[in-house]
Amino acid sequence: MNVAGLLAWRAELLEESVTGLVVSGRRLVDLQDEIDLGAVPPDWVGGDAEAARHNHGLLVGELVDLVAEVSAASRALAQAADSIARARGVLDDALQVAAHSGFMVDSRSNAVRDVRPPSEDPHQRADRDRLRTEIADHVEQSLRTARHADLEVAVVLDQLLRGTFDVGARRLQDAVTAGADLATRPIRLPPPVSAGPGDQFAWWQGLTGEEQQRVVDDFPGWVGNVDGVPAWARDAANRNRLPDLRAALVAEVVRLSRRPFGLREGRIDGLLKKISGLDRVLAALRRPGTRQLLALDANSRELHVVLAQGDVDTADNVTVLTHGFTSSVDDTLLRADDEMTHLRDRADALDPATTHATVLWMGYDAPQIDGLLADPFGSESVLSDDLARAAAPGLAAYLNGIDASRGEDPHLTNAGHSYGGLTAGLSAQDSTGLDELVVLGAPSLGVDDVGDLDVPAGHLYSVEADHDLVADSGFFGPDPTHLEGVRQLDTAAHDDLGLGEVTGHTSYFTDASTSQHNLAAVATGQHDLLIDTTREPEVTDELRHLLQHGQDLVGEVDATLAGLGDRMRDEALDLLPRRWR
Amino acid sequence: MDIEVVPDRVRLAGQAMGEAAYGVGRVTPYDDLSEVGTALPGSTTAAAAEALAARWRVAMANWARATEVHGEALAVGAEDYRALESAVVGLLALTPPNPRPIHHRDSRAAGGAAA
Repeated sequence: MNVAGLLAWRAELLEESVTGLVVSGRRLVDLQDEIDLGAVPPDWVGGDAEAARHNHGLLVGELVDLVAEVSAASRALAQAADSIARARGVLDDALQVAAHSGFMVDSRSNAVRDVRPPSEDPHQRADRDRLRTEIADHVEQSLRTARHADLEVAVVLDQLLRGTFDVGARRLQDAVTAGADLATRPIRLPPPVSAGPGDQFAWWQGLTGEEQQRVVDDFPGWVGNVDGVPAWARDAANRNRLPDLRAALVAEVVRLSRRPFGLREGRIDGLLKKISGLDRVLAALRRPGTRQLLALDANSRELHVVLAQGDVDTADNVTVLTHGFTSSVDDTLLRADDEMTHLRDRADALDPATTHATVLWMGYDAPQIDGLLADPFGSESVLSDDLARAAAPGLAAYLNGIDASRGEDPHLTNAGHSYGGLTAGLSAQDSTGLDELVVLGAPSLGVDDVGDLDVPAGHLYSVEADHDLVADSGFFGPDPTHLEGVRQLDTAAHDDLGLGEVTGHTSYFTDASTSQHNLAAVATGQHDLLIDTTREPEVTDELRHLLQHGQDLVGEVDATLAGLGDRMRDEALDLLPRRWR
Repeated sequence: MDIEVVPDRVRLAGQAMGEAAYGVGRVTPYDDLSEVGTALPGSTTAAAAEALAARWRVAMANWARATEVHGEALAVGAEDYRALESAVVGLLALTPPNPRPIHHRDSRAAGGAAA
């Protein structure tokens, strides 16, 4: 199946056929009165009466089968028409985006080519690559959906042809229902495996509204954690999954508790923490206001949850918050949920004309104190960047999924606090469609050069409070305070604006603080409201800067010596007779 | 049993089946199914729809014909029934009344008056 093939298909003509079949079916059902009147009177007895009665029964049975077949065919074709119309919609959108953005889609090979000359700007190149992949994903999924719809309805028609349906009805109207039920397709097309958000979204779009609801109700595990599926569906699916997941964890605790102590040590504590985390999630969902449960996964060391306030599917501004060391659903979800509420209120106050959603992304195993104590230099320790590196692709996929699952991209911000800032920075090395990146009290962005991040120039910010030693630690790379291309935002008090100061490492989200104001201004795209840093460098800053400067000096000396060496070698070569060279 | 009612109802049943046959003959879902090929050129569905449409065309024509014959048979049956009933009634009319009903035999033997 290729693009040209799908473009030749006309779902509206298929719908006309369906309408015709439905009308035909009704006209056949209207013959029920004649069929009833045609029954042999019961008081007519004898051999001929019996023969007539038998014959009448056969004729009715055949008409019932026919009505059921017409009903089944119309139902199957209606489903196909819906799916194909959806597939065409996805394809048309992809082709339109391609045409407007300078991409060409080959209608025979389905290949997507960038026809514009490559940009010098690496961010623009990355954005073009991302867009090309997204267009290709949508094209591929639209074809997959159409092909599947075609095969599925063909199977139903083939079964009708071979007469393998057993209707089991005696009345014509019952045959209509029975036929429709027989043709109602089970959802045999699960989401594509190992596919990106664009593929997942296109798959989702290929399902009819009824099928989408059935997936949410009957197969919530298919979509609850899938990036690219719209937020409303993920939310509904995860709410459906939550009771079963909790029950499964409780059952596991019961099972383990029957085992000898040595075999269950530690595991029960972890499970109880997850159960407690699920209860925190339930408590958050019961709070007033719109919340969306966008991920729920108990398969890792920590319970992974993504919880939003507002509607991620429609909000003009979406801000994703990534927390760090010691953050866990059990311990910090409700406090972080409060902070989201305040941040969203602040964003509403700064820009009441647009809508805002905030997302708490706890989709990774953040480092915990246990990990630090068990092995300070192990991969589970906060002193290692292993956990951040492991989490970064998941965060990038989530960010990508937001854009992929919406018709119109939101103004998208990722804000990472502490170790979460490192995770956010590492994830931004991928192409994510991010419009803004803010790190608060982050030891590093995980890069030496902001050019390695796929964030538009001038939209990278660092917020560092006084006496935040973590932010000054310089672990994992250069301190963001000293990275060129990172705008430094303020945390000091601004009494004239009613904004308070924050200090230390854990207060960046304090309500009515300058730090929170700056984050809300970034999140709403109100760059003219940003307050640049006014704080003087601290001793730790200076030390870090000197160390960095010292490293730079060493690098310069190295380079000079190397250059000198090259020049001396060249001069020495010049002195040699030409034939010796 | 009202002997006039049964043949009438059989005749009406035959008539109803004739109307059903006529009604089915005027419904053409196979034409709608054949249009699928125009909507989805080159598809697997188009081929399957064409085959099914052909089967429906034959099956519906056969059903209409069989039902029509069935209706006619009922009409004939009704006429036969009526004719048979009429014949029976006629025959009964020609049969003279029994001069000596069985239930009178005992009373005559007992010395009752004879005709």
